[in-house]
Amino acid sequence: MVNLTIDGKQVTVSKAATIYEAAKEAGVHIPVLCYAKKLLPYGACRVCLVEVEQMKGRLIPSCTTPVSEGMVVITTSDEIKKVRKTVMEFLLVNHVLDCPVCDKGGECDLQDLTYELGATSNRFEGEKFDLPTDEVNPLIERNMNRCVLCGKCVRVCDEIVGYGSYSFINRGFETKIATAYDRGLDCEFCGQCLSMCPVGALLPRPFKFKARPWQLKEVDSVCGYCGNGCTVTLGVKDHKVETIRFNDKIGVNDGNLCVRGRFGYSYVNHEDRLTKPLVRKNGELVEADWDEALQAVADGLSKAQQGQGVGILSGARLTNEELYLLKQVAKVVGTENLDHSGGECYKGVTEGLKGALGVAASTATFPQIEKTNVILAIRSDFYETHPVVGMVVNQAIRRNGAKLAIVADKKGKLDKLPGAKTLLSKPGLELDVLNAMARLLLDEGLAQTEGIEGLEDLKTALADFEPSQVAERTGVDLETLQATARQLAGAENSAILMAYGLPYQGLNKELATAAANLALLVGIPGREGSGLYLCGEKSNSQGAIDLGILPQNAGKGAQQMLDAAAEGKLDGLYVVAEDPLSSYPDRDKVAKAFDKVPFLVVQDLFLSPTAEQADVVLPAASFAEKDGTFTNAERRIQRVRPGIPSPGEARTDGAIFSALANKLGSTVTFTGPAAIFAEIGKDTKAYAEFNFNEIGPQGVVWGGEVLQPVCKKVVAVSGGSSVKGDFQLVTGSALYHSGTVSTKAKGPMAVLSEPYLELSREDAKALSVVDGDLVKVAGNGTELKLKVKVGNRLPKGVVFAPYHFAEANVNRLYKGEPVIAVTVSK
Amino acid sequence: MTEFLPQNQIDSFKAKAAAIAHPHEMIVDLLRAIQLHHGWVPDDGVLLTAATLGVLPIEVEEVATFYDKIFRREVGKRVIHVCDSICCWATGAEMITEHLKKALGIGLGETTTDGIFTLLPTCCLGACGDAPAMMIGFTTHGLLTTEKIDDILQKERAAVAAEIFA
Amino acid sequence: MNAYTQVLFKNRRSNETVLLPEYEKSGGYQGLRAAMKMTPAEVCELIKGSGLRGRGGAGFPTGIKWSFFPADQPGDKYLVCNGDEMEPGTYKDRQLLLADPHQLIEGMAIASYALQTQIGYIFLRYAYEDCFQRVERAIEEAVEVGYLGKNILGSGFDVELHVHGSAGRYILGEETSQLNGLEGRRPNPRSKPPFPAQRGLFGRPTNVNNVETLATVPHILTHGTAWFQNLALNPESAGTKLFGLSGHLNRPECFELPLGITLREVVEDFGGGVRGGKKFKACLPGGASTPYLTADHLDVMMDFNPLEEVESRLGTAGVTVFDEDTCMVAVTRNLNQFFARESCGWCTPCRDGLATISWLLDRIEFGQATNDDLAMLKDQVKNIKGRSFCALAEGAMGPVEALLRLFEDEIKDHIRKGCCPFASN
Repeated sequence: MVNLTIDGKQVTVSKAATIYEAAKEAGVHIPVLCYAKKLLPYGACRVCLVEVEQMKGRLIPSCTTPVSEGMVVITTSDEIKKVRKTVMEFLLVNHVLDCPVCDKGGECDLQDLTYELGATSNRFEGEKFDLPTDEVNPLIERNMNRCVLCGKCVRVCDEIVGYGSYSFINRGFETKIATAYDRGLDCEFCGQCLSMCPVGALLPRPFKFKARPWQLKEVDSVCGYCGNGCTVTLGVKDHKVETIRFNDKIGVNDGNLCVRGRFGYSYVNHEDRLTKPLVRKNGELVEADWDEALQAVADGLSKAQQGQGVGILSGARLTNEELYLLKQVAKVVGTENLDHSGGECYKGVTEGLKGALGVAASTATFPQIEKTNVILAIRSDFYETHPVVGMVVNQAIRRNGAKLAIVADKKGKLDKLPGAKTLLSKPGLELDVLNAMARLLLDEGLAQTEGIEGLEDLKTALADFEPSQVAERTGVDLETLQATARQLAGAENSAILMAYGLPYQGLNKELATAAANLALLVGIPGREGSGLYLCGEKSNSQGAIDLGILPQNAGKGAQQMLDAAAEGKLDGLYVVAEDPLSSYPDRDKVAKAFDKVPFLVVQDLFLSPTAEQADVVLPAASFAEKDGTFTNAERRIQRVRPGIPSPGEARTDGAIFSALANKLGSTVTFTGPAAIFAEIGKDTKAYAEFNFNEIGPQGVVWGGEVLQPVCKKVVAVSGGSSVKGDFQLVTGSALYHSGTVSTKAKGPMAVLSEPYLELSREDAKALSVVDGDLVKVAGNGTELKLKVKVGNRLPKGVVFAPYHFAEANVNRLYKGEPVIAVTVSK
Repeated sequence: MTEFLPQNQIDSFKAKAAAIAHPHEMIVDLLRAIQLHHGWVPDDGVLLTAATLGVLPIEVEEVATFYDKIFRREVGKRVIHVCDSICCWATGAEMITEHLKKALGIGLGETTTDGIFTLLPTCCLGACGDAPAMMIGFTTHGLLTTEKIDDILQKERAAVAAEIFA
Repeated sequence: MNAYTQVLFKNRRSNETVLLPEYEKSGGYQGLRAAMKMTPAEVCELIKGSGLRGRGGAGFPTGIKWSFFPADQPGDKYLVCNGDEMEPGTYKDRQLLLADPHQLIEGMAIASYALQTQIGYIFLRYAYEDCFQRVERAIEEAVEVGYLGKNILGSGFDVELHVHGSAGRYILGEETSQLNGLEGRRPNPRSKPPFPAQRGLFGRPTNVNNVETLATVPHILTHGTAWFQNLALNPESAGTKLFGLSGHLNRPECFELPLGITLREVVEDFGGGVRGGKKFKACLPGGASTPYLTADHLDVMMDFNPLEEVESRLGTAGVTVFDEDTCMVAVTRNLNQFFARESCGWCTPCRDGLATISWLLDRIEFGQATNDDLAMLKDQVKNIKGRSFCALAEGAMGPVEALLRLFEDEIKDHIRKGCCPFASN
C-alpha cells in the first residue's frame, strides 16, 4: 500500500493504483475523457492533468501516472482549470456541434465536460470536420465528425473483444479512427465500442431518434439468450424496450455484451407476439379467452393422462420460479414425463459431470477464468454460443498471458486470439483428442492421481489413445496436442470450457466426461482459480437442471416422449417455451409425434411451427416482462426484472402455470416469486441458503465461487467416430443468433437474416460456387437447398450449417449425431 | 491479379515471419518492398502484408497510413519529395516548389496526367547543407536551381521512357 | 582549415566511405579490444567518467543512462541506435555514416558488451538509403572478421546488429515511438514510466542512443577520459561535437568542433559568415525545436549548459542561420507547420493545439492579427508546453517562446502594419 495526499486528504491505496484511481477512491473528482475503467491507461486527452508537488514544472496525467509514497497531489487550481478548459476548446474547434440531433445529447461526456469546465466560448476558429458517416452496417452508425479521438472504441475492440475492427489511421491533425481500408464497419457487432464512446460518434442505429436518454426508464435484468447471464439494463420508453443501456456496475459481464444481448432485444416488442390464447375449433386456431383456453388445457391434459399419459417438454428460458411451478403442474397432472431442451444435450452435465465429480454444474465462476494461465476450449463454437465468456478468455490472454488451445473441427474467433492454437480435428473425433491428452498425462507421470478413483479402468480404456496414433487419425498436430496437455498439467490455474445445447447433442455426455477426466488429472475441480465450465446455450439451462426439469422416477425423457407420441402411445404433450419442430434434432420424428399425439398444448411467445400444430396455444411473456431468477452457467442466481407489460393478454409462464394448476384442482397459491424461491430451497438444497429479496447486484452463487466435487472419479469413454462421405456436415450456433428466438429479433436478423451452408475456399472452388449460390445438401435420406457462404474457418471437406432458422430444415438432416455424411452439389 | 510482389519475395517474408517471435516487426519492411515493386500500396497490398505476416489488416493499415513515405494512393512513376522545412525554406524552397508546380503543371499532392511524376511536400530531408533540396526515389538532389530542376526532370522522364520500353 | 582535433571526422573525405582496413589502420576497433578486457560495469563507469552527453538532442549523460540499465537481468535485452535524424536543420549523423560508419558499429559492439544486450537495431530514416547501404556493408565487414556475430574477439560474447529502414516521420525520433516503429506497431510514443530500460523493445530492457553518441564511445575507450575531456574548449564539458551548419551562410557545411566554441567562431570562421555580406539576425542553435539565439549571443559557448543559461539548448547542434532580412514570424510559422504536421495525433494539446498556433501565426504573418491574438499566442504556449504526452509539442514551443521573448516587436510590427514588414523580400 502507498500513502499519498490528494487535495489535502490522506489516502492509502494499492501501489498499482494510478493517481486518478486513488482520487476516485478518496472521493475526489477528476474529469476524464479517454479514461475507462476496463481499459489500459492511455493518457491522450489531457483532461485529467493534475499537479504533483514532487514533479513540478509540468502537469501530470493522473490516469497514467502511478501513485508513489508521499506524493502530494493537487487536482484543482486556476492553472489546471485553464488547461482543462483549453483542451475542451481544442476539441471543440473542429467538432461539429449538432447536439440537437445527436442521440448522445444528455449523456455526452463532451457536453458534460464543456459545461463543467466552463468552455462557453471558443477563442479559436477552424473548419468543422466534414467526413462521411458510416451507415453501411445495420447496427452501428459511425459519425467521425463527432469523434474526439479518445480511442476507447479502438481499445475496447482490441483489449476486450479481441476483434480489432478499428484503429487510428493517418496522423497528426488528420488522424481519424477507421477500419482497415477505411471502409464501412463489418465486425461481430457486439457494440462494445458503442458503450465506450463518450460522444455521439458511435451510436446504435436501431435506437436512432427513439428517445432522449433521460426519457428512458432503466430496468436491470438478465439477458434472455445464453447461459452467460449478462446483466442487461433495459432502456424502456412507452412500454417498449428501445435500447440496452450500458451498465458496468453490476453483474458478471463488466458492461460487455454480444450482438444478441445488445441488439437482440427487439423480439419482445415484435408485432407477431401472441396476444390472446388460441383454441382449435373445427380445425382452425381461433382466439379464446383465458378461462376457456385454460379449461380446454385442463380438460385435455386430464383426459390424456387418464389415457396413455401426458408428457411435458420445457425450454430453458423460464425463470427458476416458473420451472418450479411447471413441476407442480406435472404433479397435479400426475405425470412423471417431464424434460427440457430435447432431453439429451444437457447430459454432459447431468450424467458426465455428475458421474465424474458428483456435481451437475460448472465448478468455478467466470471471473476466475481471467486469472488462469492455460485455457482449453472444447469446440471453436464456444465463442459463438457464449461470446462474453470468450471476451474474458481474451482478457486472460492479454492481461495474464494465458495460453489458449481449442480442440475443434473448425476454426473460429477463439483461434484469432493472440497465441491461440487450434487442435484441428476431424469432426466427431474431438473426444479422441481429449482422451489422448489424458493418456499423455498418465504416460508422462504428469497426472495428479491422488485420491482419484477409476484410474486403472481409465488406463486400460486409453490403450487405443496413444497420442501419436490419435494425432494420425484425427489430423491434429501431435506437438500441439502434447504441448497443450503438458501446459495444462504445468499450469498454476487452468480452465476447461465447453458449451452444450441442442445442436451439440452428439457425444455430448462423452465429451463432458473426457473433459472431466482431463480436469481431474490436472487437478482442476475444487481448486481455487481453476474451473471446468459446462455452459448451457439458454439463459436458464443451469436452473432447469438445478430445479430438476428432468424425467421424474420412471418417467419418460423428451426423446422417449416423442417416440411414444409418434407411435401413438402418448395422448397429450404440453410444450413450453420451446419450438421442437424448428430446433430439436430429427424434425421428421418430432413432426410425426405432434401429428399423432391427440392433444397438444404449446405455450410460447410466437405462433411457431410447433404452435401451429397445437390444439391450444397459450401466449406467454418474454424475459423482459418477468420477475424472478435465472441461474447462469457458473451457478450464479440473478434477478430478472420486468421492464414492460406483456402485449395483449399474454401472461408470464408462471402465471399460466398457477392458473392451470388451479384449474386442475390444486389449491396451492403463491404470493409471488419470492415465496416460490423460498419453496425451491426445499427441493433444491443448494438454493436454500438464499433469500430472494437479498439477491444483490452481483447475484448469488450456489455452491460458492469454487464448487467442491463430491467425488473424483475418472470414467473411461470410448472414442468418437468419423463419417465417410464427400462432405462432413456439422451444425451448431452462429455468433449472431441464439436458439430460434433471435430470428424474431431485428438486430441479429439485420446482420444474419438467412440460413446458409458454410464451406472452405478450397471446396467452393472445386464446386465452382461463390457466396449466395444455392447448393443441394443431401444426407440422412433427405435433401436441402442452402445458400453458400465461403469462409476461412472450415477445413476442406467439412461444411457447417447453423441450426437457428426453422425454414432451413437443418434438423431434417441433423438427427443428433456429432457429424453427418452429406453430398454437396450445385 | 496484379502482382504486388514477386512470389519468391512473398515466400521469403513468410518464412522469416514464421521464424521470428514478433512478425509485426516486418510490416514496414514488407510495405516498403511492395511499394518498391508496385509503386504504391493499394488495399490489396495491405491485405497481402497482413496475410503474409499473419497479422490483422487493420494492424497494417494503422502503420501504413502513419508514414508519409508509404503511399496508400496511386502515385506516378517518380515521386518528387520537395523539402519545405526551415533550411530549404530559408534558401528558396517556396520558389523551387513553384517552379516544380509550373514545370509539371500540377499542384502539391497531384500526379501529372502522363502518370510520371507526383509532387509531394516533405519535411527536412537531412540535406540542410545543400538546401534547397528534393528527393526523387532514394536520390537526394541539393543546391537546387530552376535550371538544375529542369535538367533532373528531363533525365527522369527519359529514364521512365526507357523503363517502359524495356 | 579546421585546426581543431578531428575525432569522428578524422578519416572523412568527400564522396568516399572508409572501409574496414582503413578504419583499422587508423586505430579502429582498438576501443572494442580495450573494452573486452574490462568488465561491462567498468566500461559503463568509464563512459560515466568521461562526461559524454547524448548527441541526439536531449544531452542526457550517456554513462548515467547506461548505469540505469539492468545489464544483469536475464533474457533478451536490446540496444537501439537512433538514426532517425529528422529534426530540421540536422544532418550530422548522415555525414558521419557516409564518411566513417565503422565508428558506429564499434560503438554499438562496445555498448552491447557494456549493457549485455545481444541484439542491436540501427534505426535509419527513410531518406538515408545511402547510409543504409554503407552501414549494412560495414556490418558485413565486421561480422566477417569477428567484431560482430558469435563470440566476438573470442570473448564468448555475441552481438547481432540489424538495420531498420523507416518510412518517414519525425516522431519516430522520440525513443518510445521509435520502439513502436521497430515493433511494427503504430509509432505513437509510449507512456513513461515504464522507461525503455525497464520495458522497451518487445517489452524487454532496451537502451536507445544516438548515432553520434555511440560513434564517440570507441574513441573514449581508446584514448581515455582525460583526452576526451580535453577535447572541449569548455573545461566543464567534454569532447567534440558535429555541427551541421545551414541557412544564410557562405559555407553551410558540417564540421567537427570542440564543445565550448563560440557561436561567433562557428558562424564566422567555419560558416564563412552570413552570405551576401548581410548581418546575422538569429539562428536555431541545434535544430528546429531549439529557441533562437540572436546577435547578442554570438559570444556564447556552443555547449549544453551555456546555452541553457541563455534559455536555449544545444539540441543536435544543427545551426541554422537567418540574415537580417528574414521575418522571424515567418520562420516560426514554418517551424510550427512542421511540428503540427509531424504530430502523431495522439494527444489533444499537440494534435489540436499546434493547429491553433499555426492559425495564430498565420493571422500575424498575414496581417490579420490584433493585440488579442498576440495575447492568445502567449497564453497558448502555456497551454501546450508541459501538457502534452511526449516532447514533440514541448519542442514545438521552443521557437514560439523565443519569438515572443526576442522578437515581440516584430510581431507588433506585423499587427500595426497589417502585413509582414519583410513582405517585399
